[in-house]
Amino acid sequence: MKNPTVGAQLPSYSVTLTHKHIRRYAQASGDANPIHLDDEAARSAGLPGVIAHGMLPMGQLASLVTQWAGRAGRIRRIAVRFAGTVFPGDTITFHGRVRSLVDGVVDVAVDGVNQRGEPVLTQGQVRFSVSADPPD
Amino acid sequence: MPARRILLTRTKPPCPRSSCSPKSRRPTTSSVDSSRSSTRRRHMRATEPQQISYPPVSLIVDEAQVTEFAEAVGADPTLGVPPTFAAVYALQVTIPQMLADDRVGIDAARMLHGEQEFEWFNHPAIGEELTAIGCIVHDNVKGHLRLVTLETLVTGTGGRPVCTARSVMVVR
Repeated sequence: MKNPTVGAQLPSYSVTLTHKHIRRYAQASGDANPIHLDDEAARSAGLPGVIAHGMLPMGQLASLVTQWAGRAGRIRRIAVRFAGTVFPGDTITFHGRVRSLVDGVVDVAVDGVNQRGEPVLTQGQVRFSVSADPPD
Repeated sequence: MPARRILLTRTKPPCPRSSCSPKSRRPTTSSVDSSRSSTRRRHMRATEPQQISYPPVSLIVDEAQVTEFAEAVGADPTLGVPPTFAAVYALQVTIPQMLADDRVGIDAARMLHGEQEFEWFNHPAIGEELTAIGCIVHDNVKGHLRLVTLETLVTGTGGRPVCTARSVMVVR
């Protein structure tokens, strides 16, 4: 990201989450909780059916943030609230707006909403450096 | 759910800077502690009822696993280890420890992720050995929900700080 300015809207991104995404995330992350994989197990836990891991949209958000930052190594912090349940078939759109820029460190407010405009990820805060990777 | 609730009053400083600090707990490559340490933890609870900490666990950042994770979250693998691969090297280490802890008594099927924060000091490298230490720092009831906050401190080669993860889990 070149020359971010305070208040600037960053490129947004939409993704539709499918059963396949959820199964693949369960495999890749090691979180095989049946509420993400088995409708019956989800229903017996009082849910309408399987739900996505909260960490799946957070991970997709982090992928977008990494593109903004240019490298994963520049990301200092990512924080979100999981405000809404994500079901297979939902389309999540992520937004970001630059809140501050001090000494090459950018703070961005981020959120994610579903196709009905309902909040999924809220109070998102991201911090990354724009100029250089942090020292090793 | 036969939840055995841990009553928390006021919290001490967050665990990565206090009782879970690697300075006070020597990391080992063993993921399971002996019953002796359970005794010690029970003893610690008598004086520090606010916090439960878990034995350190070490793992190696595996390239194939990173690639698989990057694909699963739509990350460009050429931009480095995806930040939330911390779900693997932090959360998937310490959350199972918490879920297996009868003193905490959480039914995984009734647990949802409420909030997540990661702060990185150095991102891990492929092949680096990381050590994660988990600590429950809050356990409160809010309305009909129970909110359990787990903090995980991750260090890397030579003890360099990698990441702190703060997870708020909601138990329905």
